[in-house]
Amino acid sequence: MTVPDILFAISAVAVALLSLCVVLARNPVRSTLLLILSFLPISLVYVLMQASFVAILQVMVYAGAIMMLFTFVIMMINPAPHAGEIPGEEPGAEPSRKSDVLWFALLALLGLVLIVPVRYAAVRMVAQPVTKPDFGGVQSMAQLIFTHPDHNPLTVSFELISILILVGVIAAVNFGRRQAHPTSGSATQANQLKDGNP
Amino acid sequence: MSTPFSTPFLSAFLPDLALLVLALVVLTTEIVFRKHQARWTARVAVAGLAAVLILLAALPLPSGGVAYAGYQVTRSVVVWKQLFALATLATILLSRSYFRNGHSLRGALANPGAFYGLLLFSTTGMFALVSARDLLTFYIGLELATLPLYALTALQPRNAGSIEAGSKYMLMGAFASALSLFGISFLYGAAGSLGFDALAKVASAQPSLSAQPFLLAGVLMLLGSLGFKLAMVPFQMWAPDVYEGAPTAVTAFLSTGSKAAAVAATTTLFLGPLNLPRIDLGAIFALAAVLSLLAGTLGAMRQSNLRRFIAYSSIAQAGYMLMAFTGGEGSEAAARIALQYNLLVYGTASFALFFVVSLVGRSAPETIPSLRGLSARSPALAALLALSLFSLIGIPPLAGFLGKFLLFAVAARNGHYTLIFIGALAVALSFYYYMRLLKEAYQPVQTAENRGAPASAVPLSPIRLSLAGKCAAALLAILLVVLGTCPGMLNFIASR
Amino acid sequence: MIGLNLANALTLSLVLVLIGAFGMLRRRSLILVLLSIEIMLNGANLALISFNFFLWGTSETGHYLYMLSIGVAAVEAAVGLAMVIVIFRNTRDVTRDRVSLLGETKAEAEA
Repeated sequence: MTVPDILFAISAVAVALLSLCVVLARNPVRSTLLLILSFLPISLVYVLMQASFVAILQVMVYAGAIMMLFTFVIMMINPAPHAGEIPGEEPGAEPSRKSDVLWFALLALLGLVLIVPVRYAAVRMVAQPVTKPDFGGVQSMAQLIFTHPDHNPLTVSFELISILILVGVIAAVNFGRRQAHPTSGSATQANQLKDGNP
Repeated sequence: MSTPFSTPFLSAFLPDLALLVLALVVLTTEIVFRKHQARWTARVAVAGLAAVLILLAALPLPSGGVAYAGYQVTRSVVVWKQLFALATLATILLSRSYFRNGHSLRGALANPGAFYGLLLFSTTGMFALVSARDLLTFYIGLELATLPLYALTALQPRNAGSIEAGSKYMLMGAFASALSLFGISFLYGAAGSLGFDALAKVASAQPSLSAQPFLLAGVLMLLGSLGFKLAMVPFQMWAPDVYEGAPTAVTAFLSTGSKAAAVAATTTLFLGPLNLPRIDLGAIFALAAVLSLLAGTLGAMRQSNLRRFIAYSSIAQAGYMLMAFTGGEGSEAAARIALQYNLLVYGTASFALFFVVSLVGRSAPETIPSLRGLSARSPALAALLALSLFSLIGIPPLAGFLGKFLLFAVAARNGHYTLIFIGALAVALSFYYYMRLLKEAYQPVQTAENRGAPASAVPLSPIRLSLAGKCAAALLAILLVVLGTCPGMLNFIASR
Repeated sequence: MIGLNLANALTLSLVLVLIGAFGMLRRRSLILVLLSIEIMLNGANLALISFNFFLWGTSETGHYLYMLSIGVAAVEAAVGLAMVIVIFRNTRDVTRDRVSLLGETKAEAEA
């Protein structure tokens, strides 16, 4: 047992418990915050695996940007008097705990079926990890991504992801856009939304 | 590897680049034209797509294809791209009238720039998907092909069903995408690289797959995620709801273009690098095919909503197409040709069906009873409907027959005779449910009234087609007949 | 047994994916379903990084795919949350199946 082993064990348990709480929590704000919290031990695991750049991205981009989006939206559509409650997530609206347990058992069984052969293969396959110098560092990542396009196998996928982000922007903007001539129904609903918050 | 700016490179990649530029241009057309935005945007998109199709057909390609950075263009890739471009073109032509008020009971579409732009971005994603030579491009291509479709499904702002369908599709798609990422990570663990060459080497070198749980886990997860896009059982639950809620043109694209992309993606992987010689993935595909045929047939039999009917019929059609993956080693070329031919035929028949549905849907809900008296209202449309349905069933000499025959032939190579028997049974049953539509269409109105049916609900004014509509109907009918009776078409596809 | 090795890392990633799948299947608020999908993606990413470190440490392909995957996750979250806002604007409710207009019964009733 070395220090990385202990750190990994602690963070693995923390990640699993926090994620479970995210799924089980009644309050969506709490869920989002717990998920953000669970990113910290995950990024610690990444650091232990020498993926320092990825660990930075996990905190700065994933937790800092993407999860903030969730928090904003939950705050935006949170008109209920009980703080942090979304309509439809009142206790009565949830499916029964009994079927929850049933599903949980089913998935746990599936997990067991999957985990056993994967662990078997992993134990058999692995020797000591051999990594190149500066593995996972910023400079090394930059060399991987930004080599000359003549012999860079990643060019096309990198360009495609930029198109994908453009598509996401177009889609989101179009949903946000108010119609030029809204029907009376949606107009009143929009007004309700505006002054519905006491 | 050729350098990126040499001539063969440019001539092979020009259609994809042109399509991308077209998508960006279409997005901005809205700003340039203040009046008749929808009409002009559609015109630009149609002209551009025609140009892309010409580029695809005319540009020379070295016999071995061209490859660069996880992207490759071969002859069969070009055929796939032609299919996608044709489906997009037909979708744009079908959707034009939906931007006018009063064309559909479901309300008019808005934002033509975004609508056509997203459609073209989705096609760009499909192009990338079939050209992929590593799992990175494949993954992003798959996302780019489906993500615009979530938005398109939800783009009918006055229709609450549309946004609900969009959100359902989105959640299912995001789940499938997470599954495919997990599968890809396992394949990476097995091969150490995301390139198809390395994957193929690992897949063929392993002594047995039980020694490679990583590979097997990755393959099964990827198959599951592609099953979502294919609407293959057990991942078909979303299809009826999404087909029902989406705007009509988008439903048409989902059942033709998007399905073709899913089939092409499955072909790229499972008739390519993941064509595992040591394990019979054919058994899994055969099981999925049987279940899809069953679910599609049973679902279609008790539907009265036309869109849900089409959804179930497309699940059954996916079942037939899955049969092409059961052929085993050495059947890749035959399977690919069978699938491409089948998708062309199925797409043509589907667009003919949607053409009829869109005209009927102008004044009545899109249900099967609304078809009643169609033969009296417009004999030509009823005839087109009959042609399309006969082709979907697979009655000779129409094109559907040859398509199904080719698929069955691929399955027969590996001795899957039970599967073929079940497929034939499904064809026989499909006769029953497709004929329900035709029976309604050719039912004389008087008898319906005599039996006390609510005839008042069905307006029976004759349907008048515009000149463009007449041309489209005639073209679709001719295609349906010619594709089936001219085996030369098949040679044309094979020789490309 | 509890050390930092490939088997344990993969177990953790599988557990995360299954927890995410559980939330995806059982939670009814659209936002929580989206959060569950993020958990699934986290599990997949963890598998990528651990494969890269333990087996193929000579190149950072897995790290690169991780970068692409958070791009995809961001786009999916943006589109999904935009849809949630539109649904909320229409119905003031973001529970799936609660305000459903689509489905078999509806189709039959319409006939």
